[in-house]
Amino acid sequence: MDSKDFRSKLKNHETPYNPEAWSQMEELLSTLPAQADSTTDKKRWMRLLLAFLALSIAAVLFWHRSELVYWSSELVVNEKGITEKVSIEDGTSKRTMTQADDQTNAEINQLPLNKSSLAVSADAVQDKNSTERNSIAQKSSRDEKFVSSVERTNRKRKDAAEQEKTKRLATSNSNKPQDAVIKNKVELPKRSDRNNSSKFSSQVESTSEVIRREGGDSTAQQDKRSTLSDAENQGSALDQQSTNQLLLTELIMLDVLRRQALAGPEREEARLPDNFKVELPKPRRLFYTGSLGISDINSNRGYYVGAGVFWDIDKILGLEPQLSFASAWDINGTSTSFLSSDQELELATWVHLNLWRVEKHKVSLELAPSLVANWSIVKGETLREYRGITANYKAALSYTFFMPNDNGVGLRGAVSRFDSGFVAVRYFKKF
Amino acid sequence: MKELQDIIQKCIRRERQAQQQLYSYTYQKVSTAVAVYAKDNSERDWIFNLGMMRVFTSLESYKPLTNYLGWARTLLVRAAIDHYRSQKKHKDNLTAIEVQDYNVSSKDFEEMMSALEAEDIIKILQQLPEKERLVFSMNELDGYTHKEIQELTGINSNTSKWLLSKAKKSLKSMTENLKTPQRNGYGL
Repeated sequence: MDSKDFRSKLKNHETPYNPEAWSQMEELLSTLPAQADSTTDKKRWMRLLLAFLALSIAAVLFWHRSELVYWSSELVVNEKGITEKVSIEDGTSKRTMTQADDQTNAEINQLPLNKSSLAVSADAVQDKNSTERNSIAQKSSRDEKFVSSVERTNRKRKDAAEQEKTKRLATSNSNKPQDAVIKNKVELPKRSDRNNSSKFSSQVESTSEVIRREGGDSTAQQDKRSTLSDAENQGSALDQQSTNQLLLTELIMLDVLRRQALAGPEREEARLPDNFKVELPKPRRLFYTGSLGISDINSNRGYYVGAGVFWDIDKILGLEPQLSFASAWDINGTSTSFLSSDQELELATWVHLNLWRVEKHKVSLELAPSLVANWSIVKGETLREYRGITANYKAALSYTFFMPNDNGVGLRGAVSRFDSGFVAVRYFKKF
Repeated sequence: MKELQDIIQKCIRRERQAQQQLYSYTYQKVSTAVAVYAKDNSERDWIFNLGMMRVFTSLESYKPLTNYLGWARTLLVRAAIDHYRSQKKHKDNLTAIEVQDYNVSSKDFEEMMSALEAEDIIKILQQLPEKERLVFSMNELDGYTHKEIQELTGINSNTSKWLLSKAKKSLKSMTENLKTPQRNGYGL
């Protein structure tokens, strides 16, 4: 007889069905929560989640593209401590700037020819706007190189003009009314109006017109000069120097800004003069993160804690390696021991896709591949079941508020491929 | 087989009639595996029902077209072990002892047990003390090693060896009594 025979007998033994046992079973089954069409529900939720993910990724990509255009058009010029933005998104502004640029080139070309006419614009120095620009220009340490180069050019012009003036004073006795000088008063644009291209271009037009008029009416200027005293001539020459500097500065700045806006920041940096510094926003920051919340593992409730490091790469992306632990008490009616529980230890790498990001607020879709170790324990007894380390992935929606001290608080809700999830309050501490 | 898969799918959707069909099928085929851990049929049914709760709630993880009965048997046996563990009275306060004195000849024991019918085997197993029955069933019928028994039940491995020998000795004694005609008090 086979030595295993009694085991085979037991294995093949059939017990008649007991209806009483089934009635007990029915009572137990009635304690389970209703879960009709759970598979259908899960599929529906999965479809909704996938649709949401697809829409989110499309939105992020679209926004990212718009952001690139925006960044390329946003030029922050830190000149004399003043930060300004020039937008080329508006077609009208772009056209105006192009027209202004053509005129600017013309002005620059004409300037050496108009040195005599520029010399007579002494009254323009008394103009309020011109005075303001003059003082700003003199204060600027960054413009020293640029201004000094302009000074050298103007000094030559001034010397030439003075020589010519001296000759004319010796030969000419004619008088001309002061109105001619007043007429030639140059209205320069205010600095705050620079980003209003159309206004500025019209001002440049008027400036160039004045310069042309001045250049064309050399006789009137000569007459005017003859009425000035030597002291006035000296003062006007100094003022003229400043005015010329400012005029050149404005025209060259306009040209540079226009070229930068059209060419984009990367290529343009190399072409900028030394006295201009281009700064692009760099929101790269590192944070410690801590999370505390409620977990749900296989329909059981518990707690969730996590810690990680968040790298705020740019306006679109962030990266966050995180170690978390979750525990949920077995309360779904199938436990055989009080306080038995499910545990999860997880190492995840969260990728943040920012759906909305401004200085203080961040709403992001977050996806994480992870490694998770699951096990169950029974209170006061040895390990009951260890299910090993498995690959997992999670998706979360998160909101973060960055405080003035650069630390932040937030809320994250997440679900995983397995039947678990959590809602956690988060704290960000800057490195 | 396909019918069984259909029933399982309906059970996942919590259809009560399908649950009853699956329960009935499993009860007839596998309840013996639980019976050897129970002291009587009432406790067998209770442990079996606890195990079937696990079966019903874990059906989604069951791989279709694989051995359902083997899978269910594993869950049911584990439910029986957990049931033992959940009883607070089972504090292992036994001292590990040497087991040589309790050794029973394996060959004699196998032959003796194989001579019995399944129902008789179940009956004499249910008459064993609880720990002896548990260790014997786990080791001899379900193939757990003494180390695994220690991990799962907290019973020291040396103690479980001693309990196993003791269970075999008791079973041998009970088998002999079972074979011997009962005296009716009249010398017959």
